[in-house]
Amino acid sequence: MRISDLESIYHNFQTTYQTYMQKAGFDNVLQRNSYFANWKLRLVAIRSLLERHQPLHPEMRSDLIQRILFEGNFWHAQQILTKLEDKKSPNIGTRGIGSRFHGSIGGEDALKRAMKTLAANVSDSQFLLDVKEIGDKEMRTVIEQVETLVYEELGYLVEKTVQTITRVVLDMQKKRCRKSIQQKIESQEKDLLKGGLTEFIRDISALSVGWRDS
Amino acid sequence: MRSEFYSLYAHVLYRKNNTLVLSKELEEDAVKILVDIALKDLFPESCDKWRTAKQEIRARCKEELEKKEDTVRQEIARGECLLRGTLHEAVMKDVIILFPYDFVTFSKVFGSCIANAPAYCRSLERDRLSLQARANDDLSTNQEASGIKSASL
Repeated sequence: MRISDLESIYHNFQTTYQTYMQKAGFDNVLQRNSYFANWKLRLVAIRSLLERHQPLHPEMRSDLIQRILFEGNFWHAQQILTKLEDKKSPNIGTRGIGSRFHGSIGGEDALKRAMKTLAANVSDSQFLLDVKEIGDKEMRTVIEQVETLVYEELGYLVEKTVQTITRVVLDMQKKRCRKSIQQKIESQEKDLLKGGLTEFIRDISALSVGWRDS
Repeated sequence: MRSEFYSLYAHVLYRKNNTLVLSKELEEDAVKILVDIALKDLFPESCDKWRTAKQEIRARCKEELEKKEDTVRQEIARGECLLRGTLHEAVMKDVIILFPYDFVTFSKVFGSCIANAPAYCRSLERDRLSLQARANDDLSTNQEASGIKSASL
């Protein structure tokens, strides 16, 4: 059985299929998962910061990964970045690249806000393609966890959607077959009844002749 | 009203010097009226035979309908697995278009089951049970889930 078979048998199959696919919400399934959203934010943040601050001392790099990726501590990450800026340009003070995230409420909020905007601008699909490229051992563990989560989430939704559409198509099949059988049997019944009626009429006519003659 | 109207003409049917010639083109309803107003008294045996024959035909057809419906239900149920496989493949194709990031792994994880239909059906059964379990689980822990997961990291 192929999809084209279903399309040719059931004219509304494609519409039904699309309706249930849309209802499933594959395009925003990952966004709805707060666990994924959280990891996406951290990974987008760390990737962006590491890219901006190249080359980075291995110790500082590891610290930044630890703070943002494993702890989600944007305040501490901001401290590291400020320290880094100070080292790079001691006369500039807090006006360097790292300090661009200083906001009125505080560094953590500004940095997190900026990273949230950045993460929101990257589609989940693109994000997954991007993180696939990351080879860093520390980050790989997290990336693999995120990938497992994505497989589970999408797999679960795929199964659920397939189940729903299967049920709908089975109903369509049952209705179609029932209708066809009913029509066939009804026509058969009509023919048999007609035959019975003809026989009855013939019978009455024959009896009537005999009845008159008696 | 209707039966009174017909009974006005019923005496014609009872005339002994009349030969009853019923048209073969008469509809069942028309014949039934004739039976009701006169034929059942004049030819009770034939009328009974016809009535019984009709009942038998209807019962036989009803039985056949039920039998065929049952067969079709079984056939549809047998084809469910194949249908699910087809739909699974279609859904997977669409999902991979949305998430092209890891076609190979994703296909391996969710697509390999299609190649082996019987095993796939068995796995679907297991999945169905685990989905149910997960749905129940989700209901009770949904609100806490993100917090617990974040904490565990």
